Amino acid sequence: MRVTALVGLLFLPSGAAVAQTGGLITGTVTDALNGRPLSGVVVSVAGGQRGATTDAAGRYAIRDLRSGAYRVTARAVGFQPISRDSVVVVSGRTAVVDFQLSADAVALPGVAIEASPDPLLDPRAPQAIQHISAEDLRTLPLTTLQEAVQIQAGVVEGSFRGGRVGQEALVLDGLGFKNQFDAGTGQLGVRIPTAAVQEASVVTNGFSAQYGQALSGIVTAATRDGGDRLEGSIGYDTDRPLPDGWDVGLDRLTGSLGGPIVGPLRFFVAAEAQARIDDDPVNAPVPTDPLDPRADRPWLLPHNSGERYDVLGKLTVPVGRHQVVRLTGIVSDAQRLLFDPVLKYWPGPGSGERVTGRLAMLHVRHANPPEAGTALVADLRAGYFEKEALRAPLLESPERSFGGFTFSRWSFAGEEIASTRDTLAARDAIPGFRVPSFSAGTPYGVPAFFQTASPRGDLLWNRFREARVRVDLLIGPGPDTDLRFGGEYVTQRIETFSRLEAYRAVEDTVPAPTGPRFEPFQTAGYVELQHRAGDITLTAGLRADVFNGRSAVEEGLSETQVTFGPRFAVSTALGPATVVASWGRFAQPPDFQYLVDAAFDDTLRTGRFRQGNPALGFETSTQYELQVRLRPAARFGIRVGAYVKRLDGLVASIPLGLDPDSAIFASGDYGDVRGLELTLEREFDGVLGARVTYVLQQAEATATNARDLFRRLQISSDGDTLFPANVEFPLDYDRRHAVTAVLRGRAPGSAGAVLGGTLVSVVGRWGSGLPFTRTTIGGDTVIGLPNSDRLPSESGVDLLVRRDFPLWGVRLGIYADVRNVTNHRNVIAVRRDTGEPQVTDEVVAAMAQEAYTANPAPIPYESPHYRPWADLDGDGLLAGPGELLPPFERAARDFTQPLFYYGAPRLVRLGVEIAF
Amino acid sequence: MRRLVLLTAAIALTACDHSEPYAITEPDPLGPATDALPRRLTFNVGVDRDPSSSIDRIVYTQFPAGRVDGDGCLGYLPPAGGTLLDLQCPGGTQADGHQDAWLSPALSAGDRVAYVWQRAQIGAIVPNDRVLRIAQAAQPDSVLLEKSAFFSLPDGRRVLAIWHLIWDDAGRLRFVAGQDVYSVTDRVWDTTFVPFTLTTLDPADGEYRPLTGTDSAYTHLTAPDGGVWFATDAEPTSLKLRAADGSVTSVGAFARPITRLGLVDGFPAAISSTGDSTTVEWIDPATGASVGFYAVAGRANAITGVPGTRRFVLDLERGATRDLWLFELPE
Repeated sequence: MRVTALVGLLFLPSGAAVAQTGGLITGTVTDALNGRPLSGVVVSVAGGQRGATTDAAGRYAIRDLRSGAYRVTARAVGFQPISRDSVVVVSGRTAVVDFQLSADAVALPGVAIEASPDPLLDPRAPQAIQHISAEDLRTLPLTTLQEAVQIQAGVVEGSFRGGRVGQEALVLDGLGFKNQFDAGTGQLGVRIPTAAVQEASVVTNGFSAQYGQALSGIVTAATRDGGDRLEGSIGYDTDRPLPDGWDVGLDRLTGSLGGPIVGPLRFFVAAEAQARIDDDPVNAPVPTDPLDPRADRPWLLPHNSGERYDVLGKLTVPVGRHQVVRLTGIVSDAQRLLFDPVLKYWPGPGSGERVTGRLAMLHVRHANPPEAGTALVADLRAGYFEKEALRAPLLESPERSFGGFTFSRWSFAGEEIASTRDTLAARDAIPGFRVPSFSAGTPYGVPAFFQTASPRGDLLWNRFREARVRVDLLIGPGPDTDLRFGGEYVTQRIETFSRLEAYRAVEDTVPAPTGPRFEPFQTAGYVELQHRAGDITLTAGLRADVFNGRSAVEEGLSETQVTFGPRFAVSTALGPATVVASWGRFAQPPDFQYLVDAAFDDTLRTGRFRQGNPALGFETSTQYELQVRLRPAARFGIRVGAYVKRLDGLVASIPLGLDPDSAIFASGDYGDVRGLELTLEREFDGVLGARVTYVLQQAEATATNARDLFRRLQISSDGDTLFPANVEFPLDYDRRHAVTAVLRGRAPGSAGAVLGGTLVSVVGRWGSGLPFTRTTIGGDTVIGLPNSDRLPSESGVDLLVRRDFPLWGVRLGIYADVRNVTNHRNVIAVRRDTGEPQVTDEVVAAMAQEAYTANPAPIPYESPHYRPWADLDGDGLLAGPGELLPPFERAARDFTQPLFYYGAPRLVRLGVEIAF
Repeated sequence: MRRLVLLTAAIALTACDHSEPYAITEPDPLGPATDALPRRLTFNVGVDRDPSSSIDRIVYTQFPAGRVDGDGCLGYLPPAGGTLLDLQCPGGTQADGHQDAWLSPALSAGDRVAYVWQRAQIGAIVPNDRVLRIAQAAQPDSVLLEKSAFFSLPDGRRVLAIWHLIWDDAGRLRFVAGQDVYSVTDRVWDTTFVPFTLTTLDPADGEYRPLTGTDSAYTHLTAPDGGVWFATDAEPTSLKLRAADGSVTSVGAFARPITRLGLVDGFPAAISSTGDSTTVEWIDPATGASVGFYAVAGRANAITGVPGTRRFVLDLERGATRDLWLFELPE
């Protein structure tokens, strides 16, 4: 019996690990005889390890429960105990279970009444949480958590509510992780295998004071625990059987296994491996020149393969009756080739990148027993996170073994020098880097554009490590009041290395390598109180954040930065609607890459050498939001939210002196994001469900960077320098209009043996164009104002058809997952000079003329650059513009093909999954 | 049955092959520009000179037009002509601040190449340095032996230039040692090579050894039994033989002064250039009789026979161009 109770505890999910808060079970216990409230009744879940006692009004509240189905039991001396099975809890929502207890002497049965409030209208949910369940990941055309996040309202290609990329944080099982070094431009490094996701959510409005390191949103994910019986799944999906043009070389293997080990000890393991022969397929037009090898096989790019491996392991260890320990580890490795048009005709290895992530986490939870009177849930979490990224030329071309899989660790030029940050050795030409020269292997022959090695010669490396410890306490003085407080401390170590043109020794025109290492720390404390009074719920919190980059190259430059973030929300029912108003101030440290010097171009393209600023302060946002929720009919809900977000202290690039290629970063920019989000939903009832979301948004900010600032300086007629007023321009992710529609339907059993039970889900998306800045062809003069032009709108329809069958005692699922069903060609970037992806004939002619002027030497017959078709007079010599310009033009047209200016083509995967 | 079909379909997923991207392949090299002989081998507007042949390649010095540092590179051609097998330049593909040249290359039967590396300032008349190098044939920068070309002969004369490198059957390198003499007429500099003697270099010990009896020899060939055919400034129409024992005899006479000797189809051949015409003449060394005569338009500077064939390559000036041409002895 005891063992059973402990097993139940193991299944008890980790409460605050999910979303803002866990789910809540609340209700009232009354005497079935006379209806009077009963105090002191113990209401418990999971065999008695969690629970609460009723107050004088007979009310109770069991907090911080992770989503799942629970058995709730009410016991009181002199009354018959009564249980209610399968009470469904969803994080951020409330389940109401009322009990009527009968005295032993009275022959009336006890009654448990579950009357969960409408989750849409429940005023106790002040935050707009968009849930992503494991079922969603299985039944929608989604493969990863990242893809699921992308279809949530307010999320545009990694940008949350118009902010810059990297203004969000990931909270995994209650502990936040963020690549604070280059969140805006880099990767997290760690991926959660999809089979390990129990539940996830996206919060884009005023999130709890528990969470920091983010301005615009929080993505939370809870991972699965092992159960009390062995369960698992294996899956494989691929596009192998599809014809050319539909097959991008995908293979994906998934698997999970969980269950008991010994006694109450449980384990869970999930693994995922994916490879693609073309890891970044594009829907670019077929070239018109028959000499271009893409003309015959336009669907895949060579030297663009990639593979990734992700493994998650978890142990759940009960310690005593009221504590449980969870140990979680994630290992993620990804490596991919980076197709470079410069190397289009180079058969040898090009550049690639490898990103690895490691994560280890310890979670200890203590929860007071129900008899304790006061609810107390205490969580201690500690975590270690490491991300390492390397970009360099490969020493040899990786050999693929199965599809895009190489099953080997690739060798990169200069890896040891970079990882040891050996800036002394790196002053010489680095072995493995080839000196670029014009390729003779092109169809056009002429020495132009295409080379035998990348002229950039980048060797870039960084490693971000952090150790984090966090304590959270939840005290429930009464069923309607929650008090949370806690804090965390994070110590980090950042090492970077960058070297340009590594095929040459450092000299005047080759910047010296940089290899800083520094050890920032962050700490934070918070307190948050939530009180429910009838239909009104008040939430007030305060968070204090501190960080110090400790990156000063000169003593004393690095400063400890402190900021406070008050947050407040009130929600109530007004007639048929629930109205939620919130206000909060949020903060995040800047990407630490801006604290240190670097020798490489940054996203602002401010130059080849960038001076870091160790005194950068917090980036902050202040958000106001009003939300109204309505349910005009059963299963049909409407949610409308309007918000204003004021951004401040954004990192800006400021010129140093008069050299536009020399810049320093400062906390100088500010902006505003205003938006309206409308969601119409017809909840999925097992047969049909639909959700349509429309987002209207305007995101603007000042855009101080070295080049723009110089452009905006005006010299008046008397020679004075005029500093124009700061003007706000659209942010890069200012998508004004976005519509997302999700439709899910399952054919009923009456549809026949073939169709019955088949699930069809469709995700449709449309978004207005993102802004971009027009420039002259040279790129050094802005036409109009920054980000004043717009890309075309983007759209796409994704489809999943899935059918599950019982097979020899297991569940066999087969599915077809089609992205961009219509093969719509989305333009995701354009040339800044033309506003179109394609170059104009004039641009091609100018490039050809420039290349010819640089290399006018005649090409003789014996040269590997000679092409007979270009030798118009047949004299064995290509000479003069008449013979040389045409091949230069064809080469220019090939080189300027805007491959990556287009989004992905139709991507199909056929999959099979076996679950047991 | 349905289960079996499902399972079979699932397994079949892995059995198919993926589509592959387009292959990155270099264009096939071109064959000879024409089937006819004589055949032009080089068409570039720069200078192509000093060919040396082996069974599978012709190496020569090319001064690519448009190369701002004026470097002389080693070009490698298929024996019948066509696209260059390779072009290797001093200091790599990019022009630099020096005027370097790899001159007078000579291929050995052992797949080595010997050449003279001449280093100078750009535009300078007098080179700073000359170095004799022996390297792997296909990689002139993979040096097996490097030795200064400046040395003194036993009689005290100082050698400052070496020329016309040839490998002998014993694997020794033989060349003409001498000096450049500079003169200026009407502000135009002229350089004249003054030959001293034939000299050998044995790669095994790296020592220079002058060949006695070859004073003022300016061109030479390897003769059977360790002998050397050569011509001297004193008797430019006479083909002399220096036997292995050091004795020197005249074995024949050409009709015209010898510009350069070359071995074609096993016979010593001499090119004689006057003005813009050249004759190629073969002598049977056993009898001293002329066995062939061939006239070529243009001024030839060097000749090399293609081993195992009746073909030979001329370094030929025609008008403003100096290119390599392939000829074949008439039957």
